[in-house]
Amino acid sequence: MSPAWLLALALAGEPPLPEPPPAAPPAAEPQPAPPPAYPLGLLPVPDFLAPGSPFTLSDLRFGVSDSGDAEQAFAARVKYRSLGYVGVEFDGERQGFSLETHRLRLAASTEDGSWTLGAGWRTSRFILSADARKRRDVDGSEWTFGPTVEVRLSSDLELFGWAEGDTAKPEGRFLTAAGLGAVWQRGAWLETVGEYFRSYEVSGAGSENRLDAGRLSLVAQVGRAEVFAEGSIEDTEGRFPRQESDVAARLRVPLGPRLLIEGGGRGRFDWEAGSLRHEYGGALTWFGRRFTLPRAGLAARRAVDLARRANERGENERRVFDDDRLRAQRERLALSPRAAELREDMEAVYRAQVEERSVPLLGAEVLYRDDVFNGESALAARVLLGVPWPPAWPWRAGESSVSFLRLDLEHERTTSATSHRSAADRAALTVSLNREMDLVLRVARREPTALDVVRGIGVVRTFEFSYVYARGR
Amino acid sequence: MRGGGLSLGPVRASSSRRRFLRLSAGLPVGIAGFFSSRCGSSPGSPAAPAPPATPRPSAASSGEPIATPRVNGAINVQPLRCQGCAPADETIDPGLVELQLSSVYALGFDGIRITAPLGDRNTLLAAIPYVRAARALGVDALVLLADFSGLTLARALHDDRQRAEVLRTYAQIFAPAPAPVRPGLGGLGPGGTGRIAFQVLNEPVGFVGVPPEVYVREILAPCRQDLRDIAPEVIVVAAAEAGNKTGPPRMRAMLEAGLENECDRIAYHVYSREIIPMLSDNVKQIVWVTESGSAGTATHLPWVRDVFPEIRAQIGDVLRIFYFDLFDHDRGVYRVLDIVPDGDAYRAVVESKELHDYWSARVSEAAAGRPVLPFETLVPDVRAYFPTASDVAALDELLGR
Repeated sequence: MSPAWLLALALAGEPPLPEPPPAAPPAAEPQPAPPPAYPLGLLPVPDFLAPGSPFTLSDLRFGVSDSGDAEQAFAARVKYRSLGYVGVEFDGERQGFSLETHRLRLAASTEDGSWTLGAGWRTSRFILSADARKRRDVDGSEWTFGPTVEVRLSSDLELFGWAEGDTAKPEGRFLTAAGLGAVWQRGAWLETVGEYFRSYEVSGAGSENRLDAGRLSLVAQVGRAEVFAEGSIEDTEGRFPRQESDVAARLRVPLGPRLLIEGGGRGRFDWEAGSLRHEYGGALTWFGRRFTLPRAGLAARRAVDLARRANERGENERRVFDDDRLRAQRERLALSPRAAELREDMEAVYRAQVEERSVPLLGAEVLYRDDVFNGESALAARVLLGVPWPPAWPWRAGESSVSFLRLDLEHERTTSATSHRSAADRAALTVSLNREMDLVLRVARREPTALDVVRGIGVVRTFEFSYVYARGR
Repeated sequence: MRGGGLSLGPVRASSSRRRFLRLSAGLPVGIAGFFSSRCGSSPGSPAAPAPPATPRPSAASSGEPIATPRVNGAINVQPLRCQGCAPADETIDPGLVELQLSSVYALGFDGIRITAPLGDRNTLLAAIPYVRAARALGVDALVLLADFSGLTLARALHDDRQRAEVLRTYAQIFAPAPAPVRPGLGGLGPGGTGRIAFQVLNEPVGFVGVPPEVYVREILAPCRQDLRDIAPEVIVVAAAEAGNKTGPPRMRAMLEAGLENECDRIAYHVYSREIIPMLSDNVKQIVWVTESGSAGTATHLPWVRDVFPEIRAQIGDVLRIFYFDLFDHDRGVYRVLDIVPDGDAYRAVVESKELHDYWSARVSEAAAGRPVLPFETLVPDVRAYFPTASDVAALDELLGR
């Protein structure tokens, strides 16, 4: 066991040694599971507060892809002392730069003559941010601006407002959109987002549409099930007025410790003409060890604790429950002058994430979608095959397993309104060397749809390989 | 055209029409199969005890003879060309052309809409006499640039290298106005002939899988630009979308993609009464309803008598409605006439008698007792309008034959 892991356990107040005597009370805290072994060996709890020396690599991504024209992508991010993170990105024609400190976030990128700039400032109550985009010269070289303000009223409640402006002043209007909304979180089990916005858009016909829209979404952990629901209403005024709605729902229910069933659907409707598009599907997944929904376990409770304590110390953090956003939150909090006070909570979240890691080994999914506007319907079948580390058959994998190999296969059949059929096959092999390091190989072959035939596009074959490193994930 | 929230009526209606178009693609020239299967049963059918010949508008025998007053709008006509011939057979039977065109003339239509499919050479050639003779009579001809099936023409119209050549050939064949059969026909083309219009594809989503925005920006706009350069006299008509509840959202998407700026006429299809209020009455362009009809012979007259005025009243920009259709292969659905062999010739059997009588009565009323010139007098031999050697050469050059 690594010293860091021992230190982490000690800080968490859960000493692994000595073992409690057999006569210990049954109500004692459960023993933490030993750290899992990865193909590259054990991975200790990272020292989230360790400064860069002076630069420490935090992220590295490299990829090559070929779908006729070979392209390369490279991105790296380093931590500079305890001041912040600096990142660069090159992806085809796109070049980007980012800087993030405890309170400040800056980003800039350019692609084919267009520019995107972003800035944000985070205080204990407010997050002020803005982005600016410059169109390419051939598109008019004008700028759009998008300021946003988020106000935290309590640990549970945030309000936000945003606006968009356009120096091109379409139809003589600089302010083209504005919205207001709220995010309400209750523990880990409930999160709702409500938003209203108005936007003005100039259509290809040269006329202005005024869109008023309201949206409400909810995700809740109800007993063993995770429920997601979303609905929106859009009222478009203009030369071609209409009212449209979007509704979506998804349910995920563990049928057993290692078996998850999920299903859901989404639809868009015109109030007069009826269905415009919809999609629905279902999946069944078998895991190599017990599976925990992201808002249902110890990691969720620890994440709630971390956000609460951070906010009590003058930070401004929403509760988040997925690995990527938790990592971003830890990196941000680690730059805080009061980071040491949050170290235990950050490590507790990380340890709980590791403890509740999912190891999917077998899965099957079916998806159907159709769309009035392109006349296509598509039926897709996906299969997942996983091999854990240490290698074992799916029914023999144990609680010490981690994800190692994962093969995703997909076959999709698209039928156009002309009854023209086309198939697409995709395969992805992911090799997880440890929690922070993946190799991914993707291949795909897509036959032309009716629209592709009209456009003169034939069979498309794609090959992609990438390496991903994300420290502290 | 698929499922999703549609009432059964429009779906049934539209799919029947589609079925016809697909069938006709497989059987574009050989209506013999249809005739042979139908002719055996027709005589015994209660609907056809004594099929009348195509009625002529009644007319008083006094006064100067006039051409048939064109008071009944426009109609869709199939490019029939021969009976019992193989697809590779180039025969165009003048009797079939005369029979359909004489009905168009006698029933007082001011326009025909006919498909000229690039993917079917012989049927495209067969459309030529229909277009030329109609125009010579002062009747407008709307040539539908679409294939009955397949993506050949859509692909060519999208391709920057093929588009101009395809449109140039179509224009070379169809755009020149024929000599009028007599002066003073009142057509709006040169010398009183009918005008020529090209409709660029038919229901793009349903027939070629092209979404609304793609159609407007990548097909219609460049086609119109090319046609302006090649044949500015051609009226460019945009494709309509399906005439059921899937149509209005697609039409709206086309309009919002700039449809009005890329054509001379906007087109709608109406096969369901409930979509009339959904189709925009607020377009900056003239609207032609290039297909409208009702499934079921008994519903034809109420549709034309009651729904056509409703369309005009609710969509103020509609200036012309093309009834669907004069003849097709499906008994009792949309067609007004059946066409049956009669010795060496053909005979029209009126299936939609109430609608036929309604149109005839309107013609008679407009004639106001004046004698009407018969079709045979004006077009003694329709072969005068048949494809010429240069038409065939131009088409074959395009097709690489």
